[in-house]
Order: sequence, then C-alpha cells, then structure tokens
Amino acid sequence: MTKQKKVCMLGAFAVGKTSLVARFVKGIFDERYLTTVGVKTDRKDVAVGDETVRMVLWDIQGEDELQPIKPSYMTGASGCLLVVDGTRPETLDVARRLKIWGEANAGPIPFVMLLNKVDLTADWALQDEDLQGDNRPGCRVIQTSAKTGEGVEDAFRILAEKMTAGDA
Amino acid sequence: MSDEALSADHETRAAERPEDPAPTPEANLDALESLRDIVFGKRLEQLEVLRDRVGRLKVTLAELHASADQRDAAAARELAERIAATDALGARLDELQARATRIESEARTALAEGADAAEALARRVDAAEALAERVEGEGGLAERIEHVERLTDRVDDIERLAQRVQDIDRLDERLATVEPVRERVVDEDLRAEDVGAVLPRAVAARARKDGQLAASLRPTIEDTLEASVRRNPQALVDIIFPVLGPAIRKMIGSAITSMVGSINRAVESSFTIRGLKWRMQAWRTKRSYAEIALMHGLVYRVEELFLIQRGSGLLLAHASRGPESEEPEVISGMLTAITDFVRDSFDVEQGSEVETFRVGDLTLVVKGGSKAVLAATVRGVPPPALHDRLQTSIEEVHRDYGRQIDAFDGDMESLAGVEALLEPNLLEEAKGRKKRGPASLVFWVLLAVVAATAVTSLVTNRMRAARVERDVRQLARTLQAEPGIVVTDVHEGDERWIVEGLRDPLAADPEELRAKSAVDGEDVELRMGAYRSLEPVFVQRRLLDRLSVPDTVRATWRDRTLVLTGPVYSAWIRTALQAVADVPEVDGVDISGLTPDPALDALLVSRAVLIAQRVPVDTPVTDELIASVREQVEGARTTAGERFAVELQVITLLPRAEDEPKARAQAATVVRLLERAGIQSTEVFRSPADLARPKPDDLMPAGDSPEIRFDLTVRLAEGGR
Repeated sequence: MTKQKKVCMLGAFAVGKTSLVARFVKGIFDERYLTTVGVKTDRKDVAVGDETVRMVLWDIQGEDELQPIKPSYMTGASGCLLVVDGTRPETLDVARRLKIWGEANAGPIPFVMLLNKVDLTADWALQDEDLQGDNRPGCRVIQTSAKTGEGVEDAFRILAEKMTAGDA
Repeated sequence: MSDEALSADHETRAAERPEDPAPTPEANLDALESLRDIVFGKRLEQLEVLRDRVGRLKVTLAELHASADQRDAAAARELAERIAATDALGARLDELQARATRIESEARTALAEGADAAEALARRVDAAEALAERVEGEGGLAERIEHVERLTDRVDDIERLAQRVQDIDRLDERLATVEPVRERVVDEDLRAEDVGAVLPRAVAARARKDGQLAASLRPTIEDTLEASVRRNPQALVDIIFPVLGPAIRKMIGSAITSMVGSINRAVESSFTIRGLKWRMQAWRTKRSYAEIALMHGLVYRVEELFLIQRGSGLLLAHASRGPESEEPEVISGMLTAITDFVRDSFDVEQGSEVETFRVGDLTLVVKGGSKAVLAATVRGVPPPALHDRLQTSIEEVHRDYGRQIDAFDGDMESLAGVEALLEPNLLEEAKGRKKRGPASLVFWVLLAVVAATAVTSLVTNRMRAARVERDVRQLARTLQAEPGIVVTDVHEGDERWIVEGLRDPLAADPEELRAKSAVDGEDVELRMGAYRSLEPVFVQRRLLDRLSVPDTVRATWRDRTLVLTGPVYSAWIRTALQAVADVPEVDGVDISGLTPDPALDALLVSRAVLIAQRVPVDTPVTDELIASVREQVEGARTTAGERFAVELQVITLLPRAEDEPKARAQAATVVRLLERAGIQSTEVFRSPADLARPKPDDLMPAGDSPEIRFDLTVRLAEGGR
C-alpha cells in the first residue's frame, strides 16, 4: 500500500534544505548555491515495513526577516524536517522557532532535526550541550551532509517511520 | 312611637304599680340616673370598646384599602400581562373567578348571620328602651331615644365593618391564589418554559395573521446571519457551495444559450463559402449552426486531470489521456504552492482562486471546491463549455466523495472510483483537415453534386425501364393464359410497349387485366383483334345462348356432350338436336333426360310460322332486304304483343350440296346485317338430305335453287306460359 505524506523542509536560509532534497531524491549534490523562492516540491518513495510512504517534499524557502514563510504551506503536512547549519549556531535558534511555528500551523506532527554540513568539520560550531532539550521523542536530531550523503537517508527514513507510526 | 302613645303607655304602667309611694321628681331623676348608670354603664363600656375597635378597624381598613388597591392594581397588571402571555393562565383566572364567587356566597351567609346578631341586639335595645321609658319620664326619653338611635347607627357601622372585614378576607384569599401566578410571571425560568410551550403555535398563528412577525424578525435574523458569516465564513461556504455552484452554472448556462441563439441568428444570414461549409457540417452532424461555428474556433484536448486536496496539496486522484506526467504528486503540490503563493501575494478578494494558467498552447484550468481542487491541463484553446463541465465534475466529487476527502490519510485507494467521475472530462476536439481553397471546394462540391445527380438519374431511368419491360412481359403472359385471348406479339414502340393479339368477345377485358397488373396504362398499348375462340367454355356459352333453353330444362355438360334434362315441348327437342349438330366442337347431345310434355305441346297450338320472305341465295343482300325483314319482324312483334315471342329464323335451303359455301356465307352476312339492324336471328341450314324429307314446319316446298327463307315463328312468350 502506498500512502502520500506531505513533508515540509524548514530552516534558515542557506542551511542546505534544497541540497538535502536533491541528495535524497536524485542522489546528487551541486556546490552552487541557488536560493529558493517560495517553494519547490519533490517526491520520493520510502519503504517502511510492507508499506510505501510516498513523501511529497515541500522545500520551502529559507526563513529570514525579509521573507517570512507563508503559513498555508504547512497545511496538511504530516511531518517536518528542521534543517540547521552546523557551522552557523544561530540557525539552531531559527530552527527551534520554526518548530514552534510549524506546530502552530500543522498541529502535533513528527519533526526530525538535521544538523547539516557535518562534512565541514573544521567549521563545526555546535556542541552536544547546545542541543540539550532538542533531541526528544517528538524531535530526533541527526547529523547529515548533503555533500557526502551522510545521515540523509536515515533522516528521511526516520521521519517516514514516525509518520507511519502516527497513522497506526 | 309617638309622644301620646308613649305617655299612655307610661300611665298604664304607673297604674299597674299602685303600691309605690309617689316619688319626688329629683329622687326620680336620681334614681333614673343611677338606674341608667347601672343599666347602660356596662353597655356603654362595651360600646366604648366597640367604638375603639371601630376606630382601629377603620384605620386598618383604610390601610388595607390602600394596600389592597395597590396590590390589586399590581396583581391586575400582572394578570393582564399574564392573560396576554398565555391562554392557560386565562383559564386559571376563570377558576379564580369561580372561587371568588364561592367565597362571596360564603360571605353573604356570614353577613346573614351578622344580621341575625344585629337583630338580637336590636331586640335587647328595644327592651332597654322599654325599660328606660318605664323608668324615665317624658322629658329625657327623646334624648335616650336619640342616643339609642345613634347606637343603632353604630351597630349599622359595625355591620358594614364586618362586611369590609369579609371583603378583606376575600381579598386575602384572592391574593393567595394570585401568588402562584405571580411566581410564574416573576420567575424567569418558569416564564421561559411557559412561553416556550406556546411559542411555535404563537409564531405560526401570528405569521398566518399578517407579515408583522417576519418584519419584526428580519433585522435580527439578518444581524445574526451577518455575525455568523463574519465569524466563520467557511461554514457558510461549505453549506451553500453545493447549492450555489449549480445555480450559478444554470444562470450562466442560460445566458450562454441566449448568446448562442443571437449568434445563430446573426450568422444564419451570412452566406460565405466557409458558412456554407459549416452549414453542411451542421446539417450532417445534426447540430446547430452556431455550435459548429464555435467549434471551429475552439479545438482543444484535455490531457491530464489532477484532483487535489485543498490546503495540503496532496494528490487525491489523477487521470490522463496517453502519456502521463511522471510525478503527478509533485505537480499537484507545486500547483497548490503556486496558487497559494499567488493568492497570498496579491491583494485579491477573499475566496478568489487562480483559475487559469497559460504556457504556450498549454492551459491549466483550475476549478476549486471547498475540499478539493480539480486541475486540467489542456492543449489548445479550452472552450467555455469545458469550464462548466469541470465545475460540474468537482461539484459531483464533493457530493459523492466529500467525506472521504475529509478523512484522506494519503491512501489513494480510499478514493477508488473517483477517477470514473473525472475521466469523462478527458475531452478532445480534433482539428479538421487542411483548409482547401474556397473556389476549389465549391468546384468539387458542385462537380460531385452534378455527377451524383447524373448517375442517380441514369441509374434510376435504367432501373425503371427494366422494371417496365419485366412488368409488360408479365402482363402478356397473364393475357396469354386467359381463355379467349391470344397474344401474338410483344414489342417496344416509340413511346410505349405494344401487346398485339386476338380476343373472343366473351373473354375477359384485357384493359381490366392490365389495371390489375403493375403496368401503368401509359406504358403499354393493347391491340386486340376479335375472333371466336373454339375453347369449350366459349363454344358452350355460345350454343346455350343460341338454344334459348326453356326454363323447364336443365342444361349441363358431360365433357363435350350437352346433357339436357327436364320436361319440354317436343318441338324444342328437334331444335336442340339441330343446334347441337351445327356446332362441330360439341360431340353430341344427350336428350335421354328430356321428357316431351304434352301440356307444353298444347301450348304450341298458338305457334305460327310466317314466311316473311324468301330470296334466292344469289340475290345480293341489300339494305332494302334487311329493312323489309326488320319491318316485318317488328310488325309481327307489335301484332303479337307481350304475351308472344317472335323469333326470326334465317333458313338456308340447299337443294344442292355444291352451293353450300356460297349459301352459308350469304346467310352469315344476312344474320350479321340483321344483328346490326337490331334484329336477333338464328341460322338454320337445310341440307339436300333435309330437303328430301320435308318437316312439318316447312310450309313451303323448296325450289331447285338454293334460297334463303326468313321464317318468323310466333309463340307464347316464356313468361306467358
């Protein structure tokens, strides 16, 4: 059985949301940065047990003061990926704020927080203690790299599992 | 009591006490006064007490009056309100009325009792008065009487007072019964309950009466609706969406219909080449001309349909014609994101939708409902009718799958069947062939029409000619089969077919046979010569005609033999034998059944043979001869009258056998000419053998040369026998 699930990618601008989707869906990575305007949708099937979760990914533009995200994009979302740039600690705050915002607009849905750009070890700025309180059953935290692919599949698979568990 | 009477009374009483010493007036007065004091002292004390009580009661009464008036007024007001409010309470008031009446009657009884008491008192006063009169002299009596009268007035006052007290009690009782009513009126819950019980009836009754209720409620209802819609517009949208959609569509539909009608009228008068072409197409497809004209401007194809959940953008169903998009879910999501983006980014009216996107020749038509959106990708120019169709479709989806859409959890299986509603919208209008030059088109059309007409005409004519020939030959075969008709030739003339042949006058009419056949009278000419058929049926008919069989005789045929039966006069037997012998086609005559009847023979007494004329066979048959014979026949007929029949026999007497051909030809000519002159005759030949044995009828002997004799036989007519 295949079930469609709407998944929103949230995070500050330039944390790598589009790259993560490209890596997850198409298995590619492009060094160039192209900012997302509005939203871009994509699709990927993930097998969970004997079910197939068809994730319809809404890659929403990065949050910043000039471009607030439209609440309507969250309508009907079944899960959410919060993306943090591990080299920019301030993006963690944005992610935390977006989590609250997302819950307010889509209800209590599962979240997975992605600490992206883990390949940039030299510039890594997040310490474990920074994340205390973030890694909870309702919000897993996973280190990823869109460039190397590390953790990407896991992150999406975990969210798919959580969304399926929500149905059961 | 008058003074005299009193005085008299006093004297009487004085006379009844003679033993008393005569008292002095002072002592009398003292004694009287002390007696008065003794007798009335106590009474006066009582009266004083009563006076006090009366005074107090008066005050109380006044207060009670005031308070009762007040309470009455309040109660009455409340009652009035109550009565107006409910019919039920009115009934209760009636009951109260009844109770009040009862109380009143009780009060009346009490009063009667009071009156009795007063009467007793009055009696006692009378006694006191009598005593006083007995004791008192005339001087003080009037004063005492006045006093007693005052007392009587007071007693009256007391009576009135008692009545007022009764009244007060009654009022108290009435107030007690009014109390529950007041409670119901004052208690808001109870009042609400009461009003609620009668409210629907009250509303209905008022609405029947006039429109005042509606007028009063209108502003409130309008305000309520307005507030409700302002607070939650989606609820109203959900409610009216299934109703409003079709209504609006119907309205627009009728507007379009009238527009198409006017286009129709406008274009109907335009006779361009293209117009003619479309007109032909309209005729061929049985559609209106305007429809065809519109269609030619609007060629399109619906390629894919997406049914999308509103809000989430999840794909609910997908239908396509031919190759479909690889990722319809992505398109569905993106389409939702874009329409959301457009709506959120521009200042558009609440509830407005993006309805059309256009990229090159691809148009995306979006029709939204409250729960789902239907998007169609259209190649070419979508006609307005497509919009209507898609709108109807999304309304149907809402009607049939509204709940499933609400409960959609991402599993498209849960909406199985919804595609069936969508697929009819995958419409296509193929483009026609490359447009020909108009002149060329007209040429081909005309050529085709001319050729078709020519071929049709040729084929029709050939087919008709073949049919006529077949029918004429069939008719010839029918005629040939008919007894007494011989067809000798059938051939095609200049304008019609000609059938030639011979016909016995007794045979069927060939024209009648033709009329019964499939051949038209204008297609054939029947040329029939006369002849005498030797077919038995005609020979027999002719023989019997000539025999003039008496009605006592029955004539039948046994093969070619005439069988005669029945009684007859003997002379006729010979006639019959002769006649049969003259017809070679008849084998013979069976006269064994004929019985000569003497009675009939007797009738022949009146029979006479007159020799009208006798001429040599060589003599030419002239008009004078015929006229002479005719004259004699008619003369004989006139003479004989109706009872007698006059028959003419043309008898050829042949003394020599070699004269026979000439004599027979001559006799036939004579018979024919006589027939033409209106005289029927029978031919009789007398061979040389016959002449050698003369018959009784031969009134005149035969000469040596052949001759024709005209015998007139006069006998009783058949009807006369």
